[in-house]
Amino acid sequence: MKNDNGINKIQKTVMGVLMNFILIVFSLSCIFPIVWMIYSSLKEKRAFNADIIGLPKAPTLVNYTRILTNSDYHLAESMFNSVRTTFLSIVLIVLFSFIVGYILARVRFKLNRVLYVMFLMGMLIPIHSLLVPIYVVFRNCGLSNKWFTLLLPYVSFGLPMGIFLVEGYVKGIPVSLEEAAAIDGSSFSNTLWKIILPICKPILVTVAIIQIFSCWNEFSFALVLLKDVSLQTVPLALTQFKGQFASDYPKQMAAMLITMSPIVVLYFVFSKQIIKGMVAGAVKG
Amino acid sequence: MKKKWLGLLLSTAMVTSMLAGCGGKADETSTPASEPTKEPTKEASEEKSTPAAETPSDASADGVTYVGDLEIMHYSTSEESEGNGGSDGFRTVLKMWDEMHPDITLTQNVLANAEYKTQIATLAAANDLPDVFLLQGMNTIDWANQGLVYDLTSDIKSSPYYSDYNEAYFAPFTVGDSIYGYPALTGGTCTVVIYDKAMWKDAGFDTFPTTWADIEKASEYFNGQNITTVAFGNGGKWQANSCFLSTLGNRYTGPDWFMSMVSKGGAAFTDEEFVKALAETQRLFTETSIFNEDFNVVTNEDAREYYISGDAAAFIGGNWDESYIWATLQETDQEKWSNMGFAVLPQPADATKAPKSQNIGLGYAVAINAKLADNPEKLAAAIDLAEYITGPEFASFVAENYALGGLTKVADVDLSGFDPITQDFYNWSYVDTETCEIYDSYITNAVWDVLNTDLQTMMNGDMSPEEVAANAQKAYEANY
Repeated sequence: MKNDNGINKIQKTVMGVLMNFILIVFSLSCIFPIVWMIYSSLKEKRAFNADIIGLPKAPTLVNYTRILTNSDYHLAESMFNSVRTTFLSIVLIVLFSFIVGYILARVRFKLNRVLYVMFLMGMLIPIHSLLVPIYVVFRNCGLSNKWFTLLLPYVSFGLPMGIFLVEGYVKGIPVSLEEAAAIDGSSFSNTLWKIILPICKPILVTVAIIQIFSCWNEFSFALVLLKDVSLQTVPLALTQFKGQFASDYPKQMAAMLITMSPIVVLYFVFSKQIIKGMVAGAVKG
Repeated sequence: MKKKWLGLLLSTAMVTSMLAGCGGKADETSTPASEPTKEPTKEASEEKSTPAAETPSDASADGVTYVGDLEIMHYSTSEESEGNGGSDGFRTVLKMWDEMHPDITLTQNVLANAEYKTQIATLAAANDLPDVFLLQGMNTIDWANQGLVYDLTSDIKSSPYYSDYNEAYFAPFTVGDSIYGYPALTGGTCTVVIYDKAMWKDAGFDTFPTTWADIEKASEYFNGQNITTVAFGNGGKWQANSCFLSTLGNRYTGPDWFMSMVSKGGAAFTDEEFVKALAETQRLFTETSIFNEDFNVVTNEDAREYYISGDAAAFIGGNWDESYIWATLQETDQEKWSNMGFAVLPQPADATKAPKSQNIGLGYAVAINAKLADNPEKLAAAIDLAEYITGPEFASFVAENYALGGLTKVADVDLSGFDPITQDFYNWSYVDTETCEIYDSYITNAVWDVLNTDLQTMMNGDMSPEEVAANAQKAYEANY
C-alpha cells in the first residue's frame, strides 16, 4: 500500500513536471516574438541583418529617435486615427449586435431566420472580393477618404460575428426572467436595457475584444478606401518601413512597439474583464 | 495594486510617446536626405548639390496657367528615399516643382511600393486613377487599351528634352506607336555580380571569370576553403527571374525573342532557346556546387550578408544590393570595400548571344489620367510636372549626388568627386556593358507568378525545364 502511494507520488510529480514543461514551452513560444521585437528594435539595420536572432551587441535607441523625430512617419496621427476608428466601431458594433441579436433571439416574426442567415452570410464572404465594388460605391456616394469612412465597413463586417454570439447567448437566458419583469410592469425597453443588458455583459465584452483586435489590425479597407496620408491607420503607417527592395525591420519593430502601447495599456487596465469575457465567450459562444 | 501601477506606468509611457511623436514635427520642407542618418550614402565628396529651382516668378515661363488642385500618387516614401538616389531625387525635384507653382495645390499620396501597387490597381479597376501617377511597365498595355492612361506620344516628342532622352527606356511604356509615360526614377541594373577581387586573385583569377566553366573550377578552390563561390538568395521567388534568368535568357534568345513575347509576335516560352536557358539555370543550381545550399530559402538580403561577412566570394543581385554592400563595407571593412569588383553574369557554354549583357531599365513611368484631356490647362500642368520630374533637373541631381542615370542623359557626368568603387559601378552600369530588358517590367504578374513559383521548384530539381516552360506558356496564353 505504501509502495503504491510512492509510485503514485512519483507519477504525479513526473506528470506535473512534464505538463509544466510543455506549458512553459508554449508560453515561451508566445512571449518570445515580443521579447525578440523589443531587443531587435534596439539594433541597427545592419546589425539585425547580420544576426537576426542574437542579442544586440551595441544597443541603441536610434530607431525610436528616428521614428519620433521624423514627421513623415506620422505615427502619432495614425495612432489617433486608429484609436478613434476602433473606439467608434466597437461602440456601434456592440450596440447593434446587442439590439439585433436580442430581437432575433426573442421576437418572432416572419423573416426572422432569413434575416439571421443573411447576417451570418457576412462572415462567409471574403473581404478581398468586395474591395473594388465597395470602393466604387463609396466613391460614388462621396464617402471615401473621410475620417468616418472606415466605420461603415468595420461595423458592417463586425456585426455578423457579434449578432451570432449575442443571439446564442440570449437564447440561453430563461424567458421567465422577462416574463417576470413584464408582470412587474417593466416596459420592453426597460427590460432590454436594465435587465438583459447587464446579463449579456460577458458576451458583449467578448464581442468587443474580438472586434477591437480586428478593427485595430484591419488593413485592406484602410488601404483602398483612404488616400489621404493624414487619415491612415496604424497598420497602413507601418508599411512605410518596407521599401521596394529592402526592409528596415528594427525600425519597423520599434514602430510596432510604440503603436502597440495603447492596446497593451488597454489589456492591463481591463485584464480581469477580458479574461472573464474570454471564458464566458468560450462557454456560451 | 501591482497591476494599477503597471497600468499607470504604461499609460504614462504611451502618452509620452504620443506627445513626443507630435512634438517632433520636423520642418516639412526639409528633404528626407537631410535627416540625420548614420548610413553613409553614395554622395559625392562635396555637399549635396541641388539644381537651382526657378523662382516662382519664372513659373509662367513653362507655360503653365492652371490654377487649382493636382494630385500625384507615388511610392517614394521618406523611408524609400534613405540611401536610394532615385527616390531621393524624385522627392527633391517634385518639391522643387511644387515650389515653382504656388497657384497649384499639389497633393501627394505616398504609399510604400507593395501597397502602392495594390491601391493603384484598385483605382484603375474603378476607373478612378489619380491625375498623375507611376505606371508600372507590365500594366501599360491593359490600362492603355482600357483608355485609362493619356497618350503622351506627341507631348514626349515635342518635349524640349526629347533629344536627351534615352529612348530605349520608353519600351515598356509603349503600345504600338503610342507612348504612355515618362520613364521615372533611376535605371539601375537588376543583375550584377559583385565579387571580392582579392579572394578571386587568391583563387587564381585576376578578373572575374567570363564563363561558367571557370566558375566551376574556382568553386573547387573555394569549397576547399569552406567558402561559398557565389551567394544568391531566391527566397522571395522573384530574384531568380529578375536577377538571373532575365539576363541569362537573353544570352540564349537575344533581345528580339523577348520583344516578340511582349508584342505577342509569335515567340513562346516553349521555344528551344528559352528552354535551354532554363536547363542551364537548373544545371548551375542543382548539379554544381557554385551557390550556397540554401539559395532557395534565403532572400537577397540574407545572401548579401554571406558576401559581406566573407563567407562568399561573390554575390549576384541588383543595384539595390550593391548600394547596401557598398555602404556596409565602407563603414565596417575598408579593405574589403576597396576590393569590390563588378562583373556581368558569366556566359554559358552553349549560349551564343550578348555575352556582356546585363538587364537594366526603368520599371515605372510618370503617367497621366486620360480624363485630364477634358481640362487642357490641368493637362498641361500635369505634363509639365511629368516632364520636370524626369528631366534634366532630376538627371543632374542623381548623377551628381549618387552617380546614377535616369531617362534624360547628362552630358559629361563629372565622377571625380566620387570614390573609385562608385565610379567603377557607374561605368559598369552605363558605359562598359550591353543592356537587355528586365522580364518582369513587361507582360503581366499572372505569368510571372506562375513562372517564378515553377522556377523555384525547378531549381530544387523537382521540375523539368520543359514543364516550367509549358506552364509559363499556358499562363501567358490565358492571361496576356
